[in-house]
Amino acid sequence: MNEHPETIVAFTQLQRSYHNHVLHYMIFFIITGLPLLSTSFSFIGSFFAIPYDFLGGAYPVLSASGLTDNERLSAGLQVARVIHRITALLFVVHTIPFVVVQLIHVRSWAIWPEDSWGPAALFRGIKGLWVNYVCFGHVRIGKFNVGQKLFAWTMILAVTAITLSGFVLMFRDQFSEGVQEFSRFVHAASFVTIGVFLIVHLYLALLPMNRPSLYAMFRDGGLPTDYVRSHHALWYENLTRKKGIDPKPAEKAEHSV
Amino acid sequence: MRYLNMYDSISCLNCLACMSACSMENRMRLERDAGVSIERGVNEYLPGSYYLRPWRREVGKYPDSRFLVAFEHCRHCENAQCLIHCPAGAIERRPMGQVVINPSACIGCRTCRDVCPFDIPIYDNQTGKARKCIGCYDRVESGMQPACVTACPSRALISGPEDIVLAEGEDRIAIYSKRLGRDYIIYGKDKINRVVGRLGWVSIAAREDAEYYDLFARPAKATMIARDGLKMGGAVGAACVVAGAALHGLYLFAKRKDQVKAAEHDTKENADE
Amino acid sequence: MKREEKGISRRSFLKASSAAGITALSAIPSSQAHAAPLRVPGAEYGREKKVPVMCQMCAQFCPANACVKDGKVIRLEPSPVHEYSGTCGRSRAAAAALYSTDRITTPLIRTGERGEGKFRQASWEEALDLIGQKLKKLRDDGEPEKVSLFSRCSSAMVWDLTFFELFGTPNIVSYGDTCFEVVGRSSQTILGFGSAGTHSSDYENADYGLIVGKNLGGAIIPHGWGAQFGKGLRHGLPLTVVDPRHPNEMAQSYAEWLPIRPGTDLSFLLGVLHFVFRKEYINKDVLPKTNLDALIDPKTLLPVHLDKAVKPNDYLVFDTATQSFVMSRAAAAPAYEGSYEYNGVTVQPAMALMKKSLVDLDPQKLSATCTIPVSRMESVADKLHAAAPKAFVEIGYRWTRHTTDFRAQVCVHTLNILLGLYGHEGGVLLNRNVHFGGLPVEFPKPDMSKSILKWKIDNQAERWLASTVEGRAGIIQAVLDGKPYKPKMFFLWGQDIVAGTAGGKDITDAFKSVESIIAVSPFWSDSVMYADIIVPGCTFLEQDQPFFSYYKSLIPVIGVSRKAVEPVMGSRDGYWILCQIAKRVLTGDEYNRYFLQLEKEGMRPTWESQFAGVTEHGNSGLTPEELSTLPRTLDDLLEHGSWGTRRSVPSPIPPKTATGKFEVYSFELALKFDMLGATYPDYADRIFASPLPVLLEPRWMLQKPKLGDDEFVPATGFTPLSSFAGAQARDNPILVALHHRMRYANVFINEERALRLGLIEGDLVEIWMQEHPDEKQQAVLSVSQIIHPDVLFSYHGLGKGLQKTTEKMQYARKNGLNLNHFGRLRFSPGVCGHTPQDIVLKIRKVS
Repeated sequence: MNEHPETIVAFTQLQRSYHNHVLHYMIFFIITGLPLLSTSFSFIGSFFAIPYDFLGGAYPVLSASGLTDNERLSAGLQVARVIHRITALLFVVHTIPFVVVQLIHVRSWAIWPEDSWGPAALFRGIKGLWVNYVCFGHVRIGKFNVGQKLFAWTMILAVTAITLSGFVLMFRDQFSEGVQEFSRFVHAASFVTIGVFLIVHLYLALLPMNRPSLYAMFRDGGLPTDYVRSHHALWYENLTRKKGIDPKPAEKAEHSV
Repeated sequence: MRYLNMYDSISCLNCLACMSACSMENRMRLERDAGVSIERGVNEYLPGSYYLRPWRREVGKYPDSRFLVAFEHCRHCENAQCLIHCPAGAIERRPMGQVVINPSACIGCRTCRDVCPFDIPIYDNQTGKARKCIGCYDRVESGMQPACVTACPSRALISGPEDIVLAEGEDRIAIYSKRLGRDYIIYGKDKINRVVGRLGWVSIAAREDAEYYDLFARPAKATMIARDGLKMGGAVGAACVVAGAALHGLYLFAKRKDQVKAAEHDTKENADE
Repeated sequence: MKREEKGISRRSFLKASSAAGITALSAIPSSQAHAAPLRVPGAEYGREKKVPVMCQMCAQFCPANACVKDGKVIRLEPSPVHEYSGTCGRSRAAAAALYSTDRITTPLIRTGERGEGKFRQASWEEALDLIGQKLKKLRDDGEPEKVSLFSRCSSAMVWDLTFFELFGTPNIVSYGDTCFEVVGRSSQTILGFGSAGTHSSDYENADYGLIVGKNLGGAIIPHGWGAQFGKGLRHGLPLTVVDPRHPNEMAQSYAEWLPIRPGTDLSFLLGVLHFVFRKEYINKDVLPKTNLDALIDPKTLLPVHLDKAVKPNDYLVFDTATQSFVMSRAAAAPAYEGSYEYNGVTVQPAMALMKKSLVDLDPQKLSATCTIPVSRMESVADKLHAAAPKAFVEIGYRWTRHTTDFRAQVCVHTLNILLGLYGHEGGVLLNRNVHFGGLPVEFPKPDMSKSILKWKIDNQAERWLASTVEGRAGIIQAVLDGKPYKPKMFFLWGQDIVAGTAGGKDITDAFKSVESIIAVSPFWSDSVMYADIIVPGCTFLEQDQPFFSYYKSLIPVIGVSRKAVEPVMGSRDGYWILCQIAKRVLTGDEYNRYFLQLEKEGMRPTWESQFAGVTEHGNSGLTPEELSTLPRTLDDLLEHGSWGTRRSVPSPIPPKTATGKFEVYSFELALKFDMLGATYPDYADRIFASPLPVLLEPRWMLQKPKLGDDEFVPATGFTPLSSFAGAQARDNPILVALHHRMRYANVFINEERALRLGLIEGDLVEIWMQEHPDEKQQAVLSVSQIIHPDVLFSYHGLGKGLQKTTEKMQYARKNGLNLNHFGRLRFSPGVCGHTPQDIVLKIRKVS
């Protein structure tokens, strides 16, 4: 039993490792996927052709007349697709153990609603977001606020959808045309969802007021206990109830810095 | 002046000479362009060489039944969705209107197939690229007609400058309407919908038979149009979110300044005491 | 309060994010990549060598041009000889046949059992010596007639026949015994002339057409019929098609389809005739051109008096002008109705008898036989009458399938003549051919007294209308029963009897028991599998051939066929092969006289002689005006390629019967009918020779008036992409891919029947004749709405049947039906063509 521990484990090693790897995967996914989604991003495709172009253009034995713009783009897209698929493979391999472990502990997920459900609770949660992020006040929340929970659920669904549709697209010939075309739509829809949400996620993650959480994810996974007590009161109470941590009287919440 | 192909389902004999000629012409092209000798090229199935394909369709119940053969071919649309969506920009429109996939630029992503309202481009497993009718642009630009047109023994396939072809089409449907008592259309002569526009390969059929010949009233791939909407929506959404984040960030910054000032003031006050 | 945090400073964050934002914003405007324009490949278009050839992917010889580049055939195109020119999908895939890796590449000598397909390679010397030896022995032993030649689109066209005639055999037979034989014969009976390709309906000018017994799109003959029909369709030609299967090739868009039971076309046509007579639709102006005024004894059905001494023959009529009996040429107004007493016998004009026969027929009974409603029969008669004379009843083509087919075709001619459609624009017209000069050498004719078929005609009741040229199965029969003698050699030069004639095991038994079988062929076939010696002759693309003109076209054409490429795959020019055989068989003098020039100078002397016949001898079949458009010299013609003229104004077509009249009441049949009664009183099929229209049912229906649940009557059609059972189409990957799409090698039954049998699309089924349950064929089933419920439909020529040939063909379907492999020899009465479809089959799922 920890008496007055200095930090509380916010993210386990598996969670941190997964998140940080997925971060990298996402970068590759997005960069290699964008030029296939829209020709507005063709310049990325051409970028991927640089090594090939260098070799092809410089050495006549590989390409007699040098590459046209199109061939360059084409080559770059081929490279991008290969990277996309390799990343997919790595992502799936990495995801399986993560998902398995998470599912084992599904009852203790922090992204379930707290004590109350329903529209009223939701509205309260959203109001709490306003208080927190706009008025910079303190709110009684668990480990995650409602925004973060909604984000998490959305990401779970979207990532599942993008993975399954991606699987179909990688092994197209095993599926009917209708399934293939629907998968393209789902893949795009889930990407758009993920993409837009990621922008929000990145912004919020980098906000100074959320710095401790950032450190928790990228360093040792721990949050200062005081911080938890003041910023995530519900969570703290749950933890102390469970683990018997001696609660210090809640101090006046400090304004975030 | 656009160069049009026209298919007349009324005078078609379902002899499939057009399809045989097409495949054979592509095997000749293999020798000419890819160095695969004709002797080898005619000794393989080469499913990718069939740009024209038949679909058996039975309509109705015996004895009021009919058997027709739908003619699967590229329409060389005015708003070719394949051309618009190809991520590799590998599809071009030739000066006379044929929509052509450049095989050296194709990356085999099958977007053209996914997006084509008529399901025309086929993915050739042997080459890893998509292929479809090229309108025999190489023949046409050399002053000849497409291989399928020259192959048709009943002149159910004709081609040429737009005005001549459509005039012949109008003549034919006038005769058919008069003698056969049904309403005939030249599908693709006028804009069909916003998705495809007019067609570079038009078809004559009885209006009531149009759907059996895949002459769709509203050709479109719903999922891919929705995907286009998503792309637009995503761009808009991303912009909004970035703007929102920027605003919040500025607001935060401004607020922070006030806080710092206030804190300094307090500290100063405390220090002064 | 901390002012400085570790990690990302606020300032740097803002900087970074604004930079990212700008980049992001700049990405949004489209930088759509565009393909660099494709270079049009340096076209050889227009620079390939074009060699005129006559396509022989099937047996129609459509004029074509072979495009040759670097000594290779890269394309076949139609030769644009006239407005009805065209080639078909098979022709377009000819290069795949030419370069097929399944071709026979060396002479072969059999090592295994006949039909097993086991052979060893041999040199040309060995093979030719062996062939020559066998032939010479038979000739030296005084038995040249024991050799039978089976030639079809051979690689030594025309000369092969003359060689064997010189050799001394009269047993040279054609191949139309399941195909056009009856069409030709019915024409000859009523019109006095004609073969299957004699007529074309005038599709583009007609106002209505009835098509029975022919599918102008299936097994398309593009040069001539196909293109003419296409033109008719472009004119919106109203059509009624009668077919056990909806024939999409002719009628995909609009024609009236009347589903019919196989073999009951006669019933349907009698129904139409019934209404034509009953409703007085007969064209009175035509009657004088017919012999319907002839007075007939109703008891014997013979003409009361037929004078055969005069030419043309004359016959007795009743002249209403003089109220006396006179010969027809002396009559002013012969009677077509009424009864008259002549020498104590009550006689009637043929017309009256015919009318009574037809009007007395019960349409309900006719309808019950063919399953076409009475109203439809009447409506067809009405439409023909309304459109006459710009209407036609299509003269059939491959219509030798049931016992009743000959009678049905007689009805077709009757309708065309009596409705005034014959020889009229918009009706039925004569095709025109060019008549060439003969070969440069005149060959002696063989002694027909030894002809097997002639003996059969003279001695067998059933051959009362047969010829000595058609009826190849008669030769087969002679092997089996030894009458008049047993043939000792089959020489196959293009015919595929095993696949192409009905007779099943009878044929293969004959093929196993005849002493020797020689085959000249570049491709494997069911029959070639039984040969003792095979030598690979060239295809049409690899050698010169004589001129040809028997096209199914209203416009005369000279077909030119020249060598497009050097022989490939080890094959040799057919004429070279013929000369080599001739050299080994004939005496030195004979060879020098008849074949030396062919050997030394090739095809040129033949061309010269043929061409001289057109330009010099006055009966070319061309008008002076048409002749003036012909290339001046032979070299000009060879350079020009196939040549044709323009469509001419149709002229009335005179009959060429012995009486000089359209014998709608056939005296030939009447005489046969009488002869059969007198000479062969036990002959059961005498009624088939009746000169009057009588209702007859096909043999299958007599055997099985009611079909069981698993019983079907077969019907076959042709695909436009196959050529009987020929490997050039069946084993052609370009075509086979399309066969798969169209399921051409499947068998088709009506959905309702399939449901009752618990069969579904794609099931593998076995099919057999009840009489021969251990001869089962397997095929993949398709379930269909467009098949008559009684029918099991298959396309001819793509199925494996019961033979092993597909082991030699990498692309050909390894299952599928060949109707001809079922059953035993089964001749039709009179013409003795075959009746491959006049059987009942059983079907069952293969578990």
